[in-house]
Amino acid sequence: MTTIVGVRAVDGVVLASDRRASKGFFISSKTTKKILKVDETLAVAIAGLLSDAEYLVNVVRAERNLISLRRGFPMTVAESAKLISNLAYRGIKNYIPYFAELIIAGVDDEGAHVLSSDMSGSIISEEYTSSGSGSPIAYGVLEGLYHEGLTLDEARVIAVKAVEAAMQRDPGSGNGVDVHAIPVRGG
Amino acid sequence: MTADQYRFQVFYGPEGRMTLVDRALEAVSKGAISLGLRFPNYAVVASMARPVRKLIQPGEKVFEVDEHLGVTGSGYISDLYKLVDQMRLEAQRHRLTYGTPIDVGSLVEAVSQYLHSYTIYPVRPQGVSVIIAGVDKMGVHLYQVDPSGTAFRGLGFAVGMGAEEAIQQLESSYSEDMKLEEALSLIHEVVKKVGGVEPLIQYGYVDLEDKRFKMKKYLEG
Repeated sequence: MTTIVGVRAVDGVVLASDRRASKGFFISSKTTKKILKVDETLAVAIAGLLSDAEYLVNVVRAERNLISLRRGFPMTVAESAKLISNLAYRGIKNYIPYFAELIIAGVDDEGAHVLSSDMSGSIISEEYTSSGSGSPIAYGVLEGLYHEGLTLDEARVIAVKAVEAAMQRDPGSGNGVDVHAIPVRGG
Repeated sequence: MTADQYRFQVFYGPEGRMTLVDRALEAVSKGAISLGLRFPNYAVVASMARPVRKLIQPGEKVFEVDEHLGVTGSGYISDLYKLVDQMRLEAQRHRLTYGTPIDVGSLVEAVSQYLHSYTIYPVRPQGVSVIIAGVDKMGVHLYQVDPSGTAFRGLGFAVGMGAEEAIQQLESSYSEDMKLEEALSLIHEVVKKVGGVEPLIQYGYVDLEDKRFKMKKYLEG
């Protein structure tokens, strides 16, 4: 269940999600936060088991703090994503997988990045991506509206439209849209 | 002496110094000299390959740890080999965990911890001091790490036999705008003076431009 969307723009990244949490055919929450802010430059949108996803995000948050204190410059987005994929891969190889698909979005010295990770431990850098039960519908919107050279404001509109479309037709998604945009530093 | 008193003396001598660590440092100062110099755009490490019998090839003294990191050292050479192995392992561990090259400070901290772990148990502290040169996002770095695990950051280091005299010479001749060739000839001059013979020097350097450690065989006078 869930629809989450991530879009990379020239001057930042944007994440959007619905707010529904389901237990089977029952809507267990209408105000779920599915976009977790790791820090000012990184956020993660989560689909799947909330507890697993939150654990992964907490590990990344702690690790980013530790690393930047130790070496004096922050972790890149790709490094943070790699950390998640290592955990996920270890999980699946030990038959105790993390049931979570994450969209990792953030900015660093190299620019803006959107990466998608799944429970197998794969990590893919994307221009735009979606996950959750509403993703086929969201992708329809993204495929129609995404183009290269999007600004952050344009990307935000497209991401919201994609989630809204999914909420119309996917019973697992609904109850409003959350958006989180991160501009590149100095942008 | 009771067993308890004896055990205590393994760590601290009557003056409150860690005697074993002091002696490890003493062992380092018996080794062939190693030096390191850092400039704004590059850093170089060099070490004297002990001279040298006609029929024996000189041993390796400068090592690549990762493509952006090099190390040399003085003291017990097999302790150095083992330490280099640890450093290479740590560098690859970082690549596996984060997918990026390790930053110099983190590597130095790992070396520090490794050496320090030999000072808190009744074992033999590692008889080696290392000089580490590397480059990362923060720029070019040069460190020295001693058997106690103490790490120093700086522009110029020398360890091994004649280190004190060498450091004095480096201090008086160092200037920030030295070219690599000038730095190398300074190193050659210092080692020659300290060693008293025409030395065989192995060296390597990193520079900011291509962020790679380049191992060179031998520096001729």
